[in-house]
Amino acid sequence: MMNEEYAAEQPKPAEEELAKKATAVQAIQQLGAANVPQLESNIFCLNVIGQIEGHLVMPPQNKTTKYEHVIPQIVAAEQNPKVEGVVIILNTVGGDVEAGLAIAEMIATMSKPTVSIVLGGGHSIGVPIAVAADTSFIAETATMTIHPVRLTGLVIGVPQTFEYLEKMQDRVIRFVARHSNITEEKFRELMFRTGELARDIGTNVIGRDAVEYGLIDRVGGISDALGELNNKIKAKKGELLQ
Amino acid sequence: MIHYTILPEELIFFDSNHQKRPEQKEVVIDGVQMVIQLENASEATIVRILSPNPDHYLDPRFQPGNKVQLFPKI
Repeated sequence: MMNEEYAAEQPKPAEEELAKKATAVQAIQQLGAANVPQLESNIFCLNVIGQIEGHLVMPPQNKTTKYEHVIPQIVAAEQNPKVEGVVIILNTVGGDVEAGLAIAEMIATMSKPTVSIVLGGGHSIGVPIAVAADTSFIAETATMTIHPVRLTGLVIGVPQTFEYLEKMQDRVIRFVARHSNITEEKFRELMFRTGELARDIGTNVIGRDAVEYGLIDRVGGISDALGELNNKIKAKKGELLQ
Repeated sequence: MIHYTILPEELIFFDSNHQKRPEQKEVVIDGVQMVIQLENASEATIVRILSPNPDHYLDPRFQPGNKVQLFPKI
């Protein structure tokens, strides 16, 4: 409810304002500070942190990136002429497969230049999001864990269950193979490798290794990522002028 | 729904800390989307900015931990 009250502070058509006044004593809340001119940036920063939250609301001890925030933001960035490029900052432990793949597909199909950078960790479903950008970066110390998709809760031990799981896994594998330089076979091999992780099968790829496997394009930090994005923006502008 | 994450399920879905958490709300103030924690009826603390505009993070009024005054407008 409060959200709506704040949202009412946004500019609205004049007649709507009048109608609101006519309904009179409607207490709405606002910030007690003078309006400063809105700052404008040509770069849109998509922060993917904690768990990627999909259909279920996570308990409050989780830090989450919510699907319903991110998807409309990407639509807005694609539409808004002031946004010239998108930088995606990843530090995520994974999360909902559907939400993660949806965000990854949205990023991959944007017409504006996109650059992603993995800092800290970009694990599990964070991998497709990282590779979805035009150019992906990974910090030297950042890691990405590639492991099999698991079913939780009641699992029926029939062949169909395995087939279903395999299908879900293929969605992730195919997306990653399509959007990076790693092959499906290599990614699958990393996913099912034994002896690397203490309590699981899979691989933990760190910084430079991710680049060597072809998963990520370059090792670099924020200046490399923003430099690349600015180059892409310039190149796109040049194309439009010709 | 399938969760593809490195965190074990019990860590995600089981809240070991059962104490009541202060109420948090998602609001838009001066065009900046943020999460605030209500302290009382007229005051709140900024917890986190959700805006994708990097410039919003430089606005000194909207630094996490800052108090925002809420007052009714008639």
